[in-house]
Amino acid sequence: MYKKIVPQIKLETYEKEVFEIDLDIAKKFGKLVPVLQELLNDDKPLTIKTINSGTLKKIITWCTYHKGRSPPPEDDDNRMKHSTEEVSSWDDKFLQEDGQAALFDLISAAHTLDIDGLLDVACKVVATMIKGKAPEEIRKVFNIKNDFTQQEEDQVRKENDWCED
Amino acid sequence: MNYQVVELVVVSLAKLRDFLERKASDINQNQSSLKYPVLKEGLQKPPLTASTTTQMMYIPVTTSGSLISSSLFRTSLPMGSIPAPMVYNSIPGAAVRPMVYPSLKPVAPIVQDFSKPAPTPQLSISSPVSLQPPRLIAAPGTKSHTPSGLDMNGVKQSETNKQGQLLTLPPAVIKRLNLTQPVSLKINNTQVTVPPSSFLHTAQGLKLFLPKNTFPVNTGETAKLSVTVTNDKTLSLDTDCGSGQLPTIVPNSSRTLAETPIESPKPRQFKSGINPASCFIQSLYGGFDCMLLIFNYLNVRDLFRVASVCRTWRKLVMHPCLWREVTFRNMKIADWEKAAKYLSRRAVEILVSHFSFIYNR
Repeated sequence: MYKKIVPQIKLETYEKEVFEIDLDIAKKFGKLVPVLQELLNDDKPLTIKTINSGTLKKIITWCTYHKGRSPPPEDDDNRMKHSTEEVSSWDDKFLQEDGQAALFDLISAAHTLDIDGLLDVACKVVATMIKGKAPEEIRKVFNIKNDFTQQEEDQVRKENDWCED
Repeated sequence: MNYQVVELVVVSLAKLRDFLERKASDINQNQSSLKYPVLKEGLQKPPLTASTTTQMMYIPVTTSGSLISSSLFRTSLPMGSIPAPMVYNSIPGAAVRPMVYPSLKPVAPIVQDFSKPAPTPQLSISSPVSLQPPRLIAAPGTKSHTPSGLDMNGVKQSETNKQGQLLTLPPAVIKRLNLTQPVSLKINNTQVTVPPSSFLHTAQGLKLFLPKNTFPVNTGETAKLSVTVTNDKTLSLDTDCGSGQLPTIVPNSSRTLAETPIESPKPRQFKSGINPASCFIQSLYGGFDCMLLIFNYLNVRDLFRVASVCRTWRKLVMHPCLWREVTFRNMKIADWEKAAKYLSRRAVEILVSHFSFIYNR
């Protein structure tokens, strides 16, 4: 019986769990592209200590979902700054379903592996969480402690008060 | 203008080189006359010319004043490669002296040292290493308390900067509490809410860290208190502690964690809901690349709000890559002069503005 052999590469995560990733998915990992050929021939997995298993699982899910879909064309109009509208509802739900810790892990992993599409989408999701909120609300969303002194807070406000809300 | 500066540098370099050469020859002269007289014999003298007067040679000698091996020395240096030795007569007043390197110690002791085995560095094991068993500490600076009060020592209490009280809960109570939620206590008609960050899990059970004056100070372990522990208003149990066993109140127990919120009896601070322990966005702070990528999707107004969140974010907002291109859209500028000053300070390269909104108003 003929069995189609899908070339796979092996990645080892922080928890020493080995994942086998299809080649066409691994091609999305920009950092891995130069070493892909070597990894294919090598039986030893490549260890990436900064990524944990849950995050890598999510990355593989994301890449599998977006495999068939062509990335949006990269012209200047599309990559305009301040545009956070085009996050699809699937992406939005997928990225936020596991809470902030998982989302930020995903961002840093996408940055480490250089997965452009995922990084863009995830950053847009975080930016949407920040947009249109007052500083106090932002602090509450991200659990950030206000470490300004009263004097510094006044100074920041004075610097930026030429723009009215 | 630049040209002139370059010329100046060249001129001064030439002067500097002259100066350095003169200095070098001076030093050579001084050294040769004082410390390193040149051995005359054993070397073939080149024909005496006027141009060779500033060159000299250093010949290694022992303290006894003789060459280590003059024949060896002579054969190891082919004559053609030897720089012209200094002519003895060219330095007035210089004489052949016993050759001594002033900075060198006599050779003999060193040789003796090498013949001996090298002294091994002695490990200082005179005082036996006192290995203390590792102690389990519930939280930094927390005084772990046993009901007998045996390990109460004054040192630990004096080093504290924040005082508080510990309330130990019996395991039967803990089982019925949801520890991920804040726990509210009713002690002698005073309502206290304790956040999960103030729970200390110790061997004796769960301890609650309470603000300083929650209980009367002098209540010992035998104090009679009526403590009602509730969680999320669904559970209410009375633990009347007359036996002195549990709950135990430790007066003046201490905690040094600076970020521990000290709760007033009114649970006002919990409503803001900021728990620094779960500030997950800090995991992106390394390198700040990801934070800048996120901020890149914000407009000017949002950037200003972000700038007043905390110090780190304010510094990030100042990053030039966020200000290379600024778009004014749906913005109302209150102070144009200040805006212009600010934008020029941020080194804005491209300014895109959509003024229709402003003029229509």
